[in-house]
This record gives sequence, C-alpha cells and structure tokens, in this order.
Amino acid sequence: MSGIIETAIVVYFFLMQATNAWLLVLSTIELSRARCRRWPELDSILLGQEHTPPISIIAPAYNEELSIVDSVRAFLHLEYPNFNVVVVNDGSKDQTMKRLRERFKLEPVKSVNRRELECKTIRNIYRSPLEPRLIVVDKENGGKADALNAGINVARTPLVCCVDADSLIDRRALLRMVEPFIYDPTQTVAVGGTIRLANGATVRDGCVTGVAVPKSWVARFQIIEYLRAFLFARLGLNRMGGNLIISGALGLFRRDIVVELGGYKRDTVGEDMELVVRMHRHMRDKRVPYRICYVPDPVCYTEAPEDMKVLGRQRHRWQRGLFDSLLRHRTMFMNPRYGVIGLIAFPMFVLFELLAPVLELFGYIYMLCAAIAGTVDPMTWGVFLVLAWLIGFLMSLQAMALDDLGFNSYRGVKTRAQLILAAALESWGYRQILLWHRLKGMVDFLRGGHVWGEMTRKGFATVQTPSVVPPQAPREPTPESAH
Amino acid sequence: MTEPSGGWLGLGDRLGNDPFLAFVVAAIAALTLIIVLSIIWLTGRALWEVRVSRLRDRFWLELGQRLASVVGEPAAEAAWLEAARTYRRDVLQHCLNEYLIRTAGEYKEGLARLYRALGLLDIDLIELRSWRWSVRMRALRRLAAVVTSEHRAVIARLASEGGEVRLLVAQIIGRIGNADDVLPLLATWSLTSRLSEYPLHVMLDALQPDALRVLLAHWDELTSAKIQRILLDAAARTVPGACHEILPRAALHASLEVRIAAAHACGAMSSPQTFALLGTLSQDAAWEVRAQAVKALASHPSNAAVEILADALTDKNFWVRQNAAASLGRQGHNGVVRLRRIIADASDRYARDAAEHVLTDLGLIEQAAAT
Repeated sequence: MSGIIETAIVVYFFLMQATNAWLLVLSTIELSRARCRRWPELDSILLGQEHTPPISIIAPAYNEELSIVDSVRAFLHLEYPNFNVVVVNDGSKDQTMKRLRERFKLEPVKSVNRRELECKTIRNIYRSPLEPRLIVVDKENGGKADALNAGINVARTPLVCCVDADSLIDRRALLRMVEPFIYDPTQTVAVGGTIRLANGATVRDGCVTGVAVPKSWVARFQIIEYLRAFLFARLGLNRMGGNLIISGALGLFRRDIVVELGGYKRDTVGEDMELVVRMHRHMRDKRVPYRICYVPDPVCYTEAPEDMKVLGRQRHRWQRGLFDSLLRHRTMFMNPRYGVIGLIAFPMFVLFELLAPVLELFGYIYMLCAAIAGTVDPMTWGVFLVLAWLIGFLMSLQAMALDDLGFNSYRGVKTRAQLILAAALESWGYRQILLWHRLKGMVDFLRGGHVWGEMTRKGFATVQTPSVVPPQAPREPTPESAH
Repeated sequence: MTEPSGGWLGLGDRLGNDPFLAFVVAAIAALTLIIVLSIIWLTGRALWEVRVSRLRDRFWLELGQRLASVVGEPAAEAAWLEAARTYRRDVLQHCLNEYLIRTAGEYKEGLARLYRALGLLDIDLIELRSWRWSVRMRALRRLAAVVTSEHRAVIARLASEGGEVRLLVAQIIGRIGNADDVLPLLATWSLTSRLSEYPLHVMLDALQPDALRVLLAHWDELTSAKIQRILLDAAARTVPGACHEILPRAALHASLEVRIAAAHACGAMSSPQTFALLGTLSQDAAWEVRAQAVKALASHPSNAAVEILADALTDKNFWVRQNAAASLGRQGHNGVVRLRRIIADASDRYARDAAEHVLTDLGLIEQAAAT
C-alpha cells in the first residue's frame, strides 16, 4: 500500500513539473509575440481615432470613502479617446457617496436604462457637471457581482471594463487591452490584464511611476507568486486558449456577451473566475469561435497584504471561489465537447490548483510519518525534498527571466538579488502556511461559507499627496478580488 | 522508492544500488547548474541594461538634442550623419524610431530622410524577408514611418499575411498608396463586426482626397455592403461634394448598412437634397436606419426637421426615441420649446421620458425625478 502511495506522490510531482515545463515553452512564445505587438505608434493612432471602440469603466465601491475620489480621478486620467466611468456605490455605510457628491458636484438625473441584468434596486443615478464622463450609480448593497451588474445595465458602450475601485490602473491600460479587440474583433470576447503588486511602488497622481522591491518579506514572496502566476501560468494557458481566470481587478468584456450570459453570478465569492468559465462554456456550447485572451503588459497594480493573517483570509477566499467555479461547471471536466478547456485547462486547475493543498500537505505529512516509522529512507526523502525546492526555485527564476525579456520591471542588480533571495526562501514556511489556509478554505466552502474575508490595506507609498491613497485604518469587509 | 538503509554515509554505494536515488541526485546536479546559470544571466542582463541605457543616453545628449536644429539644413545634416555613423545600428534604429513615432509633418519627413541616409531603411527591407515573424514585424513597424511611395509594391504584398501585419500594412498604404493599392485591399477585406472596421477607417482617413474620389467612382463595384458603408462614411467627412451623386442610390440600397451610411453622410452635409433623403430614411422599415436618420437631422435645423423629430418621439423603438429627443435638444430654441411641450402635454410616457432625459442632460430642467 505504501509503495502505491509513494509512487502516486512521485507521479503527481513529475506530472506537475512536466506541465510547468510545457507552460514555460508556451509562455515564452506568447511573450515573444506580445513584444512584437507592442507598438507605441499604435497608441497615438488609437488616441487620435474617433472610431476607437468606446469603453465604460465600471468600478464598484463599497466603503471606499478614503480612496474613492482619488480612484475616480485616476480613472478619468486614463489615456483613451472614448470612455466613461461608471462608479457603483454598493450601499456603502460610510461617506463614500458624500465624498463623491461633494468633490464632483453630482446631480441626480433621470436616466432611462434597460434592466438587462438582475441587480438590487438603484436608488439614483448621478452625473457630474464638472466631469461629463462620470456617472455614479447609488444602489442598495448587494455585493460586488450585483454592483457590477448594475453598472453594466447603465453602461451603453460595446465594451465594458470591470475594475476594483482601489486598483491603480496604468494610464495606457485601456489602449493595451483594446488591442485584441482590434486585431481579432470577430472572436475576442474578453481580455484580462496582468496584475502586479503596488507594494514598494512609487505612486504619482494615482499612477504607478516606479516599481521597487518592498521591505516586507510577505510582499516580496507575493511578487514572486504574481510573476509566476501571470507570466508563467496564464501566459502559457493563453497560448493554447485555456485561460480560465480574468482578474476581477481589471477585465475588459464585450457587453453583449456578458448580457447574453446573464451577467455576474451574485451567489459566489469567485464571480470573476465563474464568469470566464461560464463564458467558455457558453461559447463552446453554441459552437461559436471565440477568444478569451490576456495582455501580458503590467496594466494594473494592487496592494497586497503584508500581514500573514490578512493574506491567509485572501487565499482562503480565493480557494473557495476556485472551488465554487469548478464545481458549478464540473460537467466540463475531461469533456471533449469543451476542447482544450475541458481536456487540458480544467483538469489542470482541478489537479494543480484546487487539489494542490490537499495533495501537497498530504505528501508532507505522509513522508514525515513514513520517515519516522522507518518505511521510507530519510536520505531518499531528503534529496527528493531538495529536488522539489530546486524546481520551485528554478520556476521562480524563469518567471523573473520572462519579466526581464518582456518588461524589465525589476531593474538593477540589488533589486534582482532581493527577489532571487525571496524566490529561494519562499518554499520554506510561507508556502506551507498558505497551503493550510487554502485547505481551510476548501473545508469551509464544503461547510457552506460564502462570505468575503476582511481585507486590511496599508496604502501606497506616494509622491504627491492630493491624488493618492493615504494610509488607511482597517476597513469593513470590502468586496475586492484579485485572483 | 527504497528500503531503509544504514544512514547518510556511503552515498556513492547507494547511488549505484538505487536507480531512483541516482536519478534524483543527477536531477539536483543539473538543476543546480541551470539555477546558477539563470542567476548569472539575470545579473548579466541587469548589467547589460545599464550599458544600453548609457549608450542611448549618450545618443540623446550628443546627437538627439541637435536633431531639431539639424533637420532641413543640408550641411548640418551631413555632419550629423557622420557623427551618427559611429553609433551601433541598434541604438540608431531604436532612438530614431522613438523620435519618428512622436513627431509629424516636415520634421518627421526630415528624420525619415536621415534614417534612410544611414542605410537603416535598406536593412529593414532585408529583414522584411526574414522567415521569423517577429523580425518581419519589427522591421515593418520601423518602416511604417520611413517608407515612401516607391516601396508601395513591397508593402502591399505583405497584406496577404493577415493579422497584425495586415493592420499595419493598411495604415502604411493609407499614407503612401493610391486608389489602385487600396482597391484590392477593400475587395478582399473581411468584416465581421464593427471592431474589425477599425483598420479600414485608419487607412481611408489617411488617404488623399483625390484617391478617395477615385475610390468613390468604384463604389458600386464593391461587393461588401459594409465596406461600401465605411467608404461612404470616410468620403462624407473628407470629400462630401463627391458623395452627392451616390447618396440617392445609397438611401435606397437593399443593405441596411449602406442606408445607415447614407444617413450619416446626409448628416455631414446640409442641403435640400440631403434633408429630403433624411426624411425618407426616418420612415425606413429598419429601426437602425430610422435611429441614425433622426440623429443626423440634428444638423438640419428647421421647423420641418422639428416636426419629423417630434413624430419620431413616438416611435416604437427605444433608440429612435432617444436619438430623436437628443436631436431635438440640438435643434436650438425651437427644439427645446417642443421638448418642453412634449413633457407638459404628451400622452405618450416614453416620449415624455425621452424629452425629460435630454432637457436634464442639457441642464434645462430644474431637477429630474429619480429613476
């Protein structure tokens, strides 16, 4: 029996590494193509065109009184010729609505909108005489998905960009993200952007102007994780058309498709992933050719928790969202009808994302018990552990190499040395603690827990005070997500 | 896996007896080597980046700042070129391209002349024949700003590649090509959604008026109604007078797309003929055409237009009513008076809603009721 378990552990381990190696090859190809597609001249052509597709930025806000005005100003400063900003106040209990009303001199308007997606009652819609591109929707609290649905109802543009109100979006993010819709307009239905960490970054006028390595080791480990997740996994999956996640922090969608799907599901904590999986399912069921793609350029920055307790709650929520999305669409698993999604992407998410905490923690515990009981040779166990660590370390270095080739975000020898050290240390303690939280998330999901975890943010390092997020006190539970 | 052994010592013997352990140790050795190489590579790249930045900075300081005073002065240009030839080709390509994409007009032409004089255009044309897509793509991007009409044939041939290459080719052809180059592109361009029209708009907007007139002469020969619409849209903006002849045919076209274009074109030019055509189009069977026709009537201020728009406020389609109300708002005093009268008297709730919405947007109503 123990022989079978040990063989299974080794097979799982090598299967995971083989998948990673394959993803690395795919992401390298994808990154190389993405580099060639990056034309600064296209930006200026797009900016000067009246035919550029109009976009509505939909920003749900719940208890964001400290940052909402700066966030809205930052959205309004994005470089794009034709866009408007729809802020949805999701029944905030603080002064969010008051701050908006005062700063932008909001006035209620009679707006005739179709209720195409289900959402809680809209109390009022406001426009600003100071900023005609701003629309504020004040509605009863219903959660992030409900707020996004309300925003999509109000939006009248063919493309909608769903964002977190507290994200820092790159000035040219919309230009970057609209490109797939221009290159392949027939088939592109959704575009996701790369999320990077704002910890340690310099923020000026609501925009990240410089990236540095933060002092917190928890944040450094997350930088490595984000590099791996976005440049390694998603880029590779993107190459084969198997992306199952578009981050809730920034995603651009064709409005008609979102409406056709019935919008965001309001009874899940992983509404961003669920929508994308449903989109895949819907398009494949209809047998319509489509593309859900991902822009590798770092277009959105979000503040990561620097406290293990808060980080644990975030991962706990992500794991529940992942479990929920995969469970809802379980019929896609290994189903040839869904092509690469059903046969490759979905099983990969189940095996290497959903079940990873269970299998990995089981592996640790089993090997430890077996070594103590004397059924496994400690030397073999030891060298196997070293091998696993080295592979993890190498993966992180490869993600850093991809970043260097594509964007060169983390420049300088000192910065690189700090990140290399973080990559080397990540597997010793940090990873195991997060595995525990993820496992707890799965157990809680099975018990029926569907609440958002409390998220505490520290605020960004700033250069100019009036337009940046100041240090904040702990907040009420906030509907944010940054898968 | 193995049976328990006597401890950590005697690794050499163990490796000989245990193939799995031997494999794992060999893998560790290989990985360690790759990791060390990766770290060296990452560090080396960081140092290389510093060096390239310095080279580019040197170019900006020594030659870049002089460019503005050099361009257009033959003697100064020659001296500048001599100094530039001491720089590496990739530095020159990068730095000059940075200027080229951020400038326009005569200055840009001057920069392109310097680029060509340095032989960089010839190198790009050679790279255009590379088997690697990425190399061809980069070369084409650089060429976009510096090719002249003598390279039309080379660029037009690339259109068959499709994808991003085709997008870029369309933009370049718009700048350096003529109607003969554009017609084949229009004839083979596949349009499946509004977004796929973008490259065509860019190309047609960049064309010279004469070329657009020639294309209009071939308007009836185009098989795609969508492309007919785009061409009519572009021509109505640039050479409206040349569109008059085809407008009556466009307004009665079997394709909804073309009738929409006719409505747009009529909105771009104000004459009794275009007003009469808009009157017809506002009664069209398709709501999409009616919506665009009433929108276009905003640019024909008259009592007759106000009457047509007031009728359209009771249209059964939401967007027609919305556009009609918005156009009434843009008709000036007469339109606003009519909107106020509709709010006060109309029995049609939809008409009242649309009128109130527009007056609120215009700031001509005290406070609108909440939704």
